[in-house]
Order: sequence, then C-alpha cells, then structure tokens
Amino acid sequence: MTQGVVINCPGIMVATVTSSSAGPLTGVQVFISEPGPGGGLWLATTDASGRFTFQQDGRYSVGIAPQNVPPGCTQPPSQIVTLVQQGLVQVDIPLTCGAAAQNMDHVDFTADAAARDLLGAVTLSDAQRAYLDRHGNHDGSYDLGDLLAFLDRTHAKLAPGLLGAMPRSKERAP
Amino acid sequence: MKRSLRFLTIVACSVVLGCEREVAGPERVLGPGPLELQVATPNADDGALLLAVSGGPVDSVTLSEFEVTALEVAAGDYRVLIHGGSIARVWVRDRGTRSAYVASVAQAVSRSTYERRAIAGYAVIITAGR
Repeated sequence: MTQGVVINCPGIMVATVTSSSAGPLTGVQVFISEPGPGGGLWLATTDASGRFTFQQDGRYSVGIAPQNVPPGCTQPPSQIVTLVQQGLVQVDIPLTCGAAAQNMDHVDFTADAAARDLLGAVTLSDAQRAYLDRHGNHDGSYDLGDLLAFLDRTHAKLAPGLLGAMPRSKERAP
Repeated sequence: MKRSLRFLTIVACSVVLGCEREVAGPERVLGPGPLELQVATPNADDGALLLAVSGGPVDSVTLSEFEVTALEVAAGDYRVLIHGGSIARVWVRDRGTRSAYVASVAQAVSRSTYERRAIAGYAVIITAGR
C-alpha cells in the first residue's frame, strides 16, 4: 500500500506596485498587517520589477503608509487579502502620480475621515490634507480651520459622539 | 437643671461629631454620568474648538445644541472636536473622579476666516453634570 505524502504549502501573495505614469515602482515599502490587537506586521520592499512576495496563510491588510508613498503620488487604499493553503493571490497596488494625482486628490474622503484625521487617526493621504488646506485657511498644514471650511463648503455633518478608539498597536501604519 | 444642661451638651457634641464624620469620610461616589466641559474663550466668534481631554475613561460624548465628536487617541486620552459651540459633555463611569480629568484647548479657529488662533487665553472648566 502506498502512503500519500501531504505537502503543506502556505498561500502565497505576489503583489505589484505600479505608477500610472512610470510603470512598476522599485523600492516602495509596503506593509502587510493582520487585523486586530496584537496582529503581526510585516514590511516588504518592491524589487526591480515593482514586485514582492509574501507567503503565509491568513487574512491581511496590504497597503502603503503615507510616509512611504512616492512624492507626487496619492496614497492607495489598503486592500484585504486572504491567503489559504496552496493558493496564489495576485495583488495590484496602483498609484496615481503626477498631474493625475493633483486632479483627483480631493475625491474619496468623507467628513468623518477628515475629522478622524484631525483628531489623531491617519485616515487621509498627504495629498488630501494638502487639498483641504488649499481650500481652507491655506496656512501650510491641515488643521481645524481647514476642516471647518470643508464642513461649511460641503454642508457635511460630523458623526456625533465618540468615534471610537484608535487601534493600540497600529494607530500609525509603518 | 444640671441634668438638662448635661443632656444638651451630649446632644451638641453628638451633632458636632456627626458633622465632623461627614466631612472627614470617604469621597462621595457620584456614579456614572456627565462631566461638563465649558470652554472659556477670549473670542466671540470661534467656529470650532479642538480639546484634549485626559484622566480616565470616557464612555461617550454628547451635546444637543452643537456638533461634537471625539476620538480616543491613547488609553484615557481623548480629542474632542466642537463645531459651533463651546460646551461638550463627556460621560464617565464615576463623576466623583472629576478631579482626575484635565482638559485644554488644542486648537481654536475663527468662524469667518478659518484662521487658527493663539490658544493662550483659552481655558476649560470641568464640572460634574446632573
């Protein structure tokens, strides 16, 4: 009788970081984090072809921290990736850079995101903060006056009450 | 007469001692409820205020007249944003611990120009609400 051999191969992620204007980006640091308190955190850097690989089963958030976004590019939203045994997942992390980034930096954030960022969470990209300041008090940094100008301009309302707590371990992405 | 005087003296002493016990006793537990944060401002047209509040856990932040929102940035350390007013109400587990809480103005901006103001003249007064 032949006995089968079971090989446990963890799931693998192959991720690529690209720029809308320059193609694959080399040397970009990407974080891979497990959700929840005490979850693991990994940092990967893209190679010459803009890629990195990660191999371990689990559910992860994959993204680029604001300080690691190349100059002139917008921060892409984090993606949730689930890796299972013997599975292969390809992840594309596209960055919008150059003139296109200037044109789209104002989209995709809410009054709550703007308020949370001001209160201490990191919910906006640098480009979005710059946009708010440009359309606010224009003093060089995102502050309460810029949020107030945004609320007045959009007639948005703040979510009442306590917005919750920042995650203890990862309130600032790497 | 002497007997009456002695009785009155005993009663008076009991009352006095009773009062002393009341004063020297443990701090009164007020239980859960709100603490009022009243911002004293040198300006009449603040558009919004950002407060830093710390000292213990806060369960929620409320106010009916204005918009107020908050975030816990570290254990027991909160940022409270008030839009259009100068009062906020934070709900705590024991109002008797009011003295442990401290609050200050981190940012204040003009209603009309959105410019940030110097916060030197601002103060936050914390009182136990009902």
